[in-house]
Formats: sequence, structure tokens, C-alpha cells
Amino acid sequence: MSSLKPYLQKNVKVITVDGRLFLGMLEGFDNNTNIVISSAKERVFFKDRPTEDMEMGLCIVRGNEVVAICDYDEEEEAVTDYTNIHAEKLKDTKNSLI
Amino acid sequence: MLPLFLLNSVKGQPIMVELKRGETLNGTLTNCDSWMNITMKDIVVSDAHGENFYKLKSTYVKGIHIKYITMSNDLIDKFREEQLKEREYYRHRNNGGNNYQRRGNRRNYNGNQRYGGHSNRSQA
Amino acid sequence: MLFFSFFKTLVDQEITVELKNDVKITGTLRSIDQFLNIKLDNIETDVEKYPHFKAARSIFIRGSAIRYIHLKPNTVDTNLLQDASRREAMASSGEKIAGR
Repeated sequence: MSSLKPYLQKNVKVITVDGRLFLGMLEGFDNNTNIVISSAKERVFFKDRPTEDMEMGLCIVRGNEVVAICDYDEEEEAVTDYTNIHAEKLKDTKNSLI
Repeated sequence: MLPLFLLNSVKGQPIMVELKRGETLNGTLTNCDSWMNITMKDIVVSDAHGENFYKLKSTYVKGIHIKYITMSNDLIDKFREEQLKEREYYRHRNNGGNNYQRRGNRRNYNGNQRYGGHSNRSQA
Repeated sequence: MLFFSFFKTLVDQEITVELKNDVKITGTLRSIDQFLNIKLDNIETDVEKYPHFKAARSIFIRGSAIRYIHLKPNTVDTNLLQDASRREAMASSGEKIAGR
């Protein structure tokens, strides 16, 4: 079973179906990949503007919306200055035919 | 911590719900179920672009249309406390049960000595 | 269930997962479940293009977001896979007849 247990109480990045990136501590999950993240932030990358972090508090993300959950190297994250890292918006993973 | 458990425990608290199509609903959670269908009251709705706002007295949202639900970060501490209390309560109850059983075993053991292996067999 | 079993035989192999948002992630397959959710370790992606994945070490990918899984040819026994597919097809058609 590939459970999310090893990620519990760890800081994670969550990619969602609409191509957004959330950061926060994974507090819980269930079989539908519904997840709870605390101290959640949404990180928005722009092509021509500094990166923005938006505080969201405690967040329940519905499993259907989840694409990927990754844990990251805290040190590397801490020393990375994201303000001037630019990127295009991630594509969504929705089926355009539906 | 199960997401739906958390949702259940924040009834009566202000939450923000974003729907699949991008609308956001700011209001107080009144009820929820195991499909994440929720009812809310005193809601301010904004459209996907955050341009138009309107108020609703109460609403029902089917869980399948929800993208995510956010709330104050303090609520997690409250939730943890509640869970701890609950766990303590159950441990207390279970311990009570265990003690009772232990006492029972001791009685059996005594019985063993007296009646010779009778309850030993039943234990196996 | 066949592909669940199939992917279980690929644990510890290096695979590349292509998501429906065109992101390709390479890593060591750590585990898989019945929804084909996948966990990868030591992941590599195009971090220049997708800084979203910067500093990421391991990743859980929801099966529903996966478009392709690229495998190394030498890690797959195609004959065995064909056999298993036939057997499963037989079994399910047998079930259908029995069900009638």
C-alpha cells in the first residue's frame, strides 16, 4: 500500500488538479486522498512578477483535487529565495473533453 | 486525523469554501456529512474572479463540488485538545475494563489452584 | 487488479511518470496501491521549468492524475504480462457466464 503515513507531521507541497501549489504540514488524510494541511500557504509563481505566498490557515483539500504530494528538503527550501524564481502556471490535469 | 473528523469538529466555526468552478463561500459551517456535503449560514459568496459579491442566509453545498475548505489555523489546536480528551476518556474506560479483566484472571488463577487446571483449558 | 500486481513487480525500479499536466517525474518506485497511486523516491524533474518541485525528495502521485508511466523495456516480461492478461480475461468471462 502506498499510504501517506510517512508524510504525516511533515511539511509537504501539494499540487492540485487546477495546477496550484499549496504548502503546509500534513495533519491527516483518508482513503479518498482528502487531506488536512495546517499553516497552509498557496504559492503563486508568475512570469514577470515576484512570487507570492498567501496564508490560508488550516485547509481541507478534497481528494479529487489532489494530483501529487511531495515532501521536501527543509534546508534546501530554507535557503531558496523564491521571490525571483519565475514560472508559468502549471497546466491543469482536467480532461478537456468532459 | 481524518479530514472529515476535523470538519465535523468545526461545526459552528467560520470557514471558507472554494468550489470547483472557483466561487468562494465565506460563512459559518452548520452541518456536514460523510460525503463532505455541507450546510452553511450567513454566507458571502464571491464569483471566480472576486468581482461580484452577494449574501446568502443559508446554503447547502454538495461535497463533490468542493475544491477545498479553509479555516483558522487555531482550530487545529482545539481539535487536537478535543481528540486528546476523547482518547483519555476511552483509555480510562478501557483501562477500567482491563482492570476488571485482570481481576477476573486473578480469580481464575485462584480458581486454578483450587480446582486444578479447569480455567487453564478454557484460556487456551 | 492485474496492473496493481504488475506494478508491484516493478518496485525499486526507476520509472518515469508523466502527469496529465505534462510534468514528467523520474524516480525509484517505492510503492503502489489498488488505485495505482504511486510513491517515488529520489525524484528528478525539470525544476527550472517547474520550480514547484524544487527541493522535493519523494512524492506521492494520485493515480487519477497519471497519463503515462514510462518503463525500461528490460524490466518488463511481456510474455508473462500477456499470459496474465489472458488469464484475467478468461476468469472474468467465466464469472460472467456463471453470473448468468
